[in-house]
Amino acid sequence: MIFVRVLILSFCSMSYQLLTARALAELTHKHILAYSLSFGFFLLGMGLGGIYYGKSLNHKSPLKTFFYTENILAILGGLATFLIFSLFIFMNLYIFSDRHLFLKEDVLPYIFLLPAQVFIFIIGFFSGFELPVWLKINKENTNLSLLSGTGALLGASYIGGFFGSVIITILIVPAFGLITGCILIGFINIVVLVESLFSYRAFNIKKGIFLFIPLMILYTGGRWDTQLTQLHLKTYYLKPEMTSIKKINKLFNFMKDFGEVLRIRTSYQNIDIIPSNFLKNHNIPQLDLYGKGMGFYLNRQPQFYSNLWKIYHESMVAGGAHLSGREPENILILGGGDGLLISQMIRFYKKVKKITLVEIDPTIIKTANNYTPLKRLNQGALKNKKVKIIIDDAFTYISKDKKTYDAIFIDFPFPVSFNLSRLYSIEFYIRLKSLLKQNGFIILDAPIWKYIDNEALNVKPMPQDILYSTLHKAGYKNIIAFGKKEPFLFLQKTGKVTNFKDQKIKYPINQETIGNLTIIDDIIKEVEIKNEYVNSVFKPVRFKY
Amino acid sequence: MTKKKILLISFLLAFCSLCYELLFSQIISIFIGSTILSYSLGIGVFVLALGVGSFICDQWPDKSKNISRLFYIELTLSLLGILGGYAEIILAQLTTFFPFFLRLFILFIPIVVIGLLSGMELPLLMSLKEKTQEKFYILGTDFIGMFTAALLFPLFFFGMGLFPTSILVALVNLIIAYTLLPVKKNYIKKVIISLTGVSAILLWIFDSQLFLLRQSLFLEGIL
Repeated sequence: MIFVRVLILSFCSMSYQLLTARALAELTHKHILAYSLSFGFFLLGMGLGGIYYGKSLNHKSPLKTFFYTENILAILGGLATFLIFSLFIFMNLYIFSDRHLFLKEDVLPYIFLLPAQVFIFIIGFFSGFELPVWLKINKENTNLSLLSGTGALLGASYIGGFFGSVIITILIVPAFGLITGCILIGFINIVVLVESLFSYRAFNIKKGIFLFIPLMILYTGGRWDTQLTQLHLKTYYLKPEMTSIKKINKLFNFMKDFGEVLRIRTSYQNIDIIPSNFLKNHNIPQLDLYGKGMGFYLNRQPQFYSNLWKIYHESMVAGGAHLSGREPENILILGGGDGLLISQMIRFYKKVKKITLVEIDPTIIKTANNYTPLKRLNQGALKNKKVKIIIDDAFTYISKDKKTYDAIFIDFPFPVSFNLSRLYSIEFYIRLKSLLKQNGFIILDAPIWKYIDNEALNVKPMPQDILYSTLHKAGYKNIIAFGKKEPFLFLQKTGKVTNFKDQKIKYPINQETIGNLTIIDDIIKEVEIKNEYVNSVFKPVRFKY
Repeated sequence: MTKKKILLISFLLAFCSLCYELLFSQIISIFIGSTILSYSLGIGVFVLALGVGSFICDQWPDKSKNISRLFYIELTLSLLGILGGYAEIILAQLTTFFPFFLRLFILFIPIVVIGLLSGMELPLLMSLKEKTQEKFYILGTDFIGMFTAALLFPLFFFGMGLFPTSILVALVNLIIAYTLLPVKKNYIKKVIISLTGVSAILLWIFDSQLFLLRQSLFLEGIL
C-alpha cells in the first residue's frame, strides 16, 4: 500500500507542475520557455527540498511532517493555476496595459513567467520532502534499514510522475480544464493524506478540524473557476486599464456589466466567441475592429469579426482568381474550419469541382455546423456535396497527400507559437509546392506588419522579412502581396508579377473588398531577404506579434 | 577522483541529460504538431526512464567497474546527441502512416534511451563516494545542472538551432568520458573518443551544409 501512496503523491506533484506549466504556456504563448523553466524550477525545488529535509527535518516525526507537507501541497498545488490566472489578470490590468505598449512582446511574458516560477519552486520544494518522509515512515513501521525498499519507492515515485504526465495531458485538462483540474488533484492529495493517517492510526479530531482549511479553500477555488475564467477573458479582450489598486472593485463591477465570453476548450486550443450582445450599450475603443458583431478567436488570436469577415474571405477568393487569371477547379484548404472561406468559394467559383478542407480540430467543424450565428454566416457551406472534410494536422496531411491542386488556400492563425510557426516554415512550403499544379496558386493569410511610428516594434526581422526569405528559399518565383486592410500573399511556382489593374474584377464583391484588392508595394519594398531569416522547423525564427 | 571533479561531472551530466530531453521533445513536436503534448509526455517518459535506469544500475554487481560503465554511458549518450536527431527524422518518416499513438510511442524511444542511460549516471557517480554528506552534494549539483539546462535551453540554445546544440552537448559528454579515463593506458578508447569528437566538430562546422541534408531527409519520405 505504501507504494501506491507514493505513486499517487508523485502523480499529484507532477500534475501540479504540468498544469502550471500549461497555464503559463497558454497565457503567454511561450510554450517552450514555460515548460522548460517550470520543469527546471520544479526540479530545483525538489532537490533543495530533499536536501533541506535531510538536514533540518529528519529528526522530526515523519507523520507530522507528512501531515503539514500534504496540507501545504494541497493548498498551493491545488490552487496553483487559480493563482497563476489571478496573477495574469492583475498584470493585464496593471502592467500589460497600453501604457506599457513599448514593452510588449519582448519583456512582458518574462515579467509574468518569472514570478510564476515561485509557485512552482515552492511546490517542488515541498514535493522534495515526500520521498524521504516515506522512506522514514517505511523504516519506522517495518523495522528495516532506511535504504531498504528505496529502489521500490523510487520506482513508485517515477511511475507516478509518468502517469501524471499522461493522465493530465489526455484526461484531466480536456475534461476539467486547468483550474478545476488542478483543484481536483488537490483533493486527491487530501484523500491520500487522510487514508495514510487512518492506516497509521494518526488521525485525531485536531487534525480532522485542521483538514477543513485546505478542503474549504479548494472548494471555494473550484466554485470560482467560471468567474475567474470570465474575468480573465474580459480583462484580456476589453483591456481595461487600472490606474490604482483602490479602484479594483469599481473595475470588477464595470466588467460584470458585459455579456459572457463563450469559451470552448478542445484538445488543441481554446475557442473564444464574443457574442454580438457582449458589449451591450458600452463603447469600447479597443474593440473598434469588432464593432457590435460577433468575434471569433483561437487561443485568443482573432480569426474573424462578423462585420469584417466578408472583406477578408472575398479578398482571398476573388483576389486569387484575379491574380492567376483563372478559376480553380480542384482546391485544397488548410485551416478555415469555420466554413466562411468555403461559403465564398461556392458563391464565386462556378467551375469548382472539389474542395478538400483540412482542419486539425473537429470542434471547430462542429461549431461551424451547429452554432447558429456562425451557421448564419457560412450558410452551411461545410455540408456542400463538393466539400470533403479531413480532420488532421495540416503538416502531417500534406506529408501524406499525393494529389495535386489548382489552388491551395491557407487560413492559419498568426504564428504566435512554435506549433503555428512550423506551418510557415521552409519545409512546409517546399512540400506544398509539390502539391501545386504547374500553373496553380497558393493564397495565404499573411502575417504582414505595417511599419509604425513606435520604433521599438519595428525591429528586424519583421514577419514579412521571415516570410519572403522563407518563400524565396523554398523556390517560389512569383510572390505578390496584396490587401491594404487585410494582407495576403499570392504565390506561384512560376509566372510573372501581375496586378489587379490587368483585368476587370468580375465578381459581385462589395466596395470595401474592391478597396482591399491593391498590391501593397510600400511595405514590400522594405522587405529584406536574408538566409538568417529563413524559418525552418530545425532552426525556427521567431515571429513578433 | 577528487570531490570537485565529481561535483563538476555531476553538474555537467545532469545538464546534458536534460538538454537532450528538451531537444528531442522539440524535434518530436515538429512531427506531431503540439509542443504541449510532446513536452508534457516527454517529461513523464524521461522521469520514468530515469527511475528504471537508476533501478537497473542498483542491480549491477561489482562496483569496481562503475567508472568504466560511466565511460560507456557517456560515449553512448554523445553518439545519441550527434546522430539522435537524424534518427528521429528517419523514425518520423517511417511512421508517417502509423496510427497517431503508435507513432508517438515510437518517436519517444530516443527519450526513453536517454532517460535510461541518464538514470544510471547518478547512482554510478554516487557510488564513487562513501560519505552520505558527499552523496548529498552530488545530488544537489545534479539538480542544479538540470535547472541550468532548463534555463539555457529556451533562452539560448533554442535560437542556436537544434542540431548545433545537440552536437555541443554531445561534445560535453565526450569530454566527461575522456576525463573518466586514466592518464595512461586505454589508448583505443581515447582514439574512439578523439574520432567521435573530431566528427562532432566537423558536423558543427559544416552545419549550414548539413541543413540541406536534413531537409532532404525530412522531405524524402514524403516527396
